[in-house]
Amino acid sequence: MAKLNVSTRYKALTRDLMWDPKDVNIKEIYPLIEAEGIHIRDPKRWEDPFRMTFNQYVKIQSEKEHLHHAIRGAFEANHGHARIVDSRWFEGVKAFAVAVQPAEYAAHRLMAYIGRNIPIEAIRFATFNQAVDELRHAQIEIKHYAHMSRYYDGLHAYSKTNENLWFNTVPKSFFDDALTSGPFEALIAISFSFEYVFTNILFLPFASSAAAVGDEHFASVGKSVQSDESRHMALGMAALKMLLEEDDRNIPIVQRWLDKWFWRCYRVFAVISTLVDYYPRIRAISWKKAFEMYVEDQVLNGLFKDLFKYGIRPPRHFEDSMKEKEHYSHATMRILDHYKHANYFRGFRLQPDDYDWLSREYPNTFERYYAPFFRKMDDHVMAVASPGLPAVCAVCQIPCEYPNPDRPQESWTQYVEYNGKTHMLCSPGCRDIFLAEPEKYMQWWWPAESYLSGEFGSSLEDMFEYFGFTPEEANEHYSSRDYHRWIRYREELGLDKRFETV
Amino acid sequence: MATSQQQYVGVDLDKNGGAVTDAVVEAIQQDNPGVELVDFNIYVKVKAPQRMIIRRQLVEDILGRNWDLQELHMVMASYFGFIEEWDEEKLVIRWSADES
Repeated sequence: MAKLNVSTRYKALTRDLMWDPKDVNIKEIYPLIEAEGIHIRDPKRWEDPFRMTFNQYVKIQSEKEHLHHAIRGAFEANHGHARIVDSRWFEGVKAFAVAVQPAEYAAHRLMAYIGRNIPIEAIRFATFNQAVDELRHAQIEIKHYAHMSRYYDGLHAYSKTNENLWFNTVPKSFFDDALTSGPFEALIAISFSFEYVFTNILFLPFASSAAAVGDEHFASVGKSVQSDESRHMALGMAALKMLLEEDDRNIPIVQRWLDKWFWRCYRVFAVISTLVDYYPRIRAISWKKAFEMYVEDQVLNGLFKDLFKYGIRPPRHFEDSMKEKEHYSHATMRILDHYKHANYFRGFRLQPDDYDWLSREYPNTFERYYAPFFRKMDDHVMAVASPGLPAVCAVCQIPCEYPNPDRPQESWTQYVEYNGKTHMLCSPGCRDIFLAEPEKYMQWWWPAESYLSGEFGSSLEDMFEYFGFTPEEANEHYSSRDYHRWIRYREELGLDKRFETV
Repeated sequence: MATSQQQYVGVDLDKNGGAVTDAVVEAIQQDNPGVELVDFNIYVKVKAPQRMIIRRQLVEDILGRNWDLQELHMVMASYFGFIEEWDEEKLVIRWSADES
């Protein structure tokens, strides 16, 4: 193979992934290919711009694994967890554990589904690689939590918590939505809207924050995962261009998907905004600045200018996401705080340096609308715990507690009557998604309803048993046993010593 | 979209790459006009207006050893723009809005 150039080698090593069946109609093998109204004339024209072959893939991925596990091994051996700047960071890592890791696994299933149902060689090979990538991500993340669980609460019944915790309906329903879409919609939903538009804001700021607080292990997880993302983004961009250039009839369909999945992805990233702005004691960047850099500059001002020639406009409600950037992390942290007594990643008392940073980065909103709430919470940590069960958005499944960014004293919650029932939606963005496919979203599962009907057992103890953790593992970080264990762990290593220099 | 803002393409490079990352940054600066660097803690964002080329030969010359363009996968954490060409000699990323 040594003398073949990249494109010839790619052709030689990926050909014959497709063939023409003689005994059955091709539509019986690919029953979904025409179901969405997408027209493809000449799929052979489409190539993965990276043209990576399987032998190269395996070689590069194994190098990434060696690098990551070397860092992981050193971090664990050197008691890295005791050396970070503040243990509340781990609550953020726990949030990541239930918000992101199941998404990685679901993305693996989704890529297999797309590859199975779209008979185009380049897409099939790229989705195969990505399916393996997503499994790798899920595994290196779980490995991290396994080690953390030796020292910290909440992760000891991980598979159960991962499966049953109420909060997890957010990422789960998101991927269920994509998995129950047609294969082309799933491709645009995940490869384009999720991977190209939003994953940067997930892994780059979060890995930077991890490094800033001294969690080199999690920084390495973030970097190793992100190193696969360029390939995933390339698939999303190639798929988008293919659908737009193959047939004009595809354009309004693709526009509809871009509208839906922009807001869907944006909302599933709500908890990420708190991982950027709140959990790290030393922050790499604010959500607002990250959103401006990765979404406004690179996507809206970069990519969508290019798509204009196809007749594609920026996604519906993108202005809402821009308006909400000054509120997003604060409103989401307030939601998490309301329900921290039943959640396994804890809230925490804001410290004076937190108030300073948040006021400085959010001069228009933090002091005016959010600091009073947090001050009250810091004086009486449990006083602001919501006594009831949250009313949850029928689309994104986040509690309906977002303020209208135009009038922040008012709620943004929307009400829709459908089929004799009132459905609540957290925002106009989620409302319009519901209205476009009400038959799909009216089937949403509401944890509060299941709790009240006894699905989680008859008592609060039963509910915690169902979630896989105990009430002592919830609540507020600085008054928790995790914090005290971390202090003792540091003392044992002598890390509490102050060395005077004269 | 009626906006006068410049359209940038670019790459986010992982500083774990050490000498390779440094050589790629330098090659991009030598080969492309108007390059801007944004330091982002563990990453460096390298951006250029409208179009960016990375040539294998130049990276090799700076690095002083053989370098395969596929090694870029180890350090290129993210990119923005359309990948127009990626072969054994060069990577070209660009926007094409100006053509229409």
